[in-house]
Amino acid sequence: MSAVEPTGTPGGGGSVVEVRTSATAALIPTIRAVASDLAARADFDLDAISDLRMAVDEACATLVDVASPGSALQCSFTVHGNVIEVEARVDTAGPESTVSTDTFGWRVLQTLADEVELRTDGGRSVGILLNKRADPTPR
Amino acid sequence: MQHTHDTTPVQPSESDDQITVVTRDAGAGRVVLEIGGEVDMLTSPQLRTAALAALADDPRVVVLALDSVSFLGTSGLAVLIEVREAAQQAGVDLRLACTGRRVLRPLSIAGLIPMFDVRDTVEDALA
Repeated sequence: MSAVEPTGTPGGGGSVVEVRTSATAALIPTIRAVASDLAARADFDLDAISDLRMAVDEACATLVDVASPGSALQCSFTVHGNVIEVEARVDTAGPESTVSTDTFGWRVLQTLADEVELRTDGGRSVGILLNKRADPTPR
Repeated sequence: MQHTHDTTPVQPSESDDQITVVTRDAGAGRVVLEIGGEVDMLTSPQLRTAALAALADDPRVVVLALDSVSFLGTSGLAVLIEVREAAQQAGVDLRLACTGRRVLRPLSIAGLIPMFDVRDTVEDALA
């Protein structure tokens, strides 16, 4: 069974879905629902779907905590064959709005995703980039 | 029946921001909390409040029945860890009852399965 791929050309840039919400915890359920749906359509197995949903939830929760008031949470999902790349980003009020990577949540995020990277932009915004492959890390 | 004495401001979609918590006395000092819904950063304080309230009643066993939980995020995992510590301090036997992937996968990925007494059913957990 092959994934429903609108482009039909894995490696040809992949399909992109962007979701932009107010940076509020109340809208994170919507974003993680999008993550689950994309993973299911990309033929991720059930554990990998669960992991991606949880990783996206954690990334968004972390960012909402440091977002400047009234700012947006921008989430971009790119499906490259059997890999989904997610970049989540919020605007921040200044360099003091930083994400701590010395937390339980960040450690779990590193376990959930195949790659995680924190990207800051001189205090103007903070982003989390993560990659997840269709097959889960064996547990 | 919901324990919602929180002081957080009303959210735009407040009906989605609730989990269900039903507390049931199973007799002989045993209490069962049936949790349902999505446990995330918004709703995990409800789980925390309900579980700590159950521990405060000085029971012998507290069972968290989690099979109706449809999402368990990191903040929910952190609450489970906190409740576990509180139970240990209070000398209460804390057990989880669940078989669903939606709960077991997050517990497993965070390496928490060995920290908890996980049973398949509430009946097992009460035995």
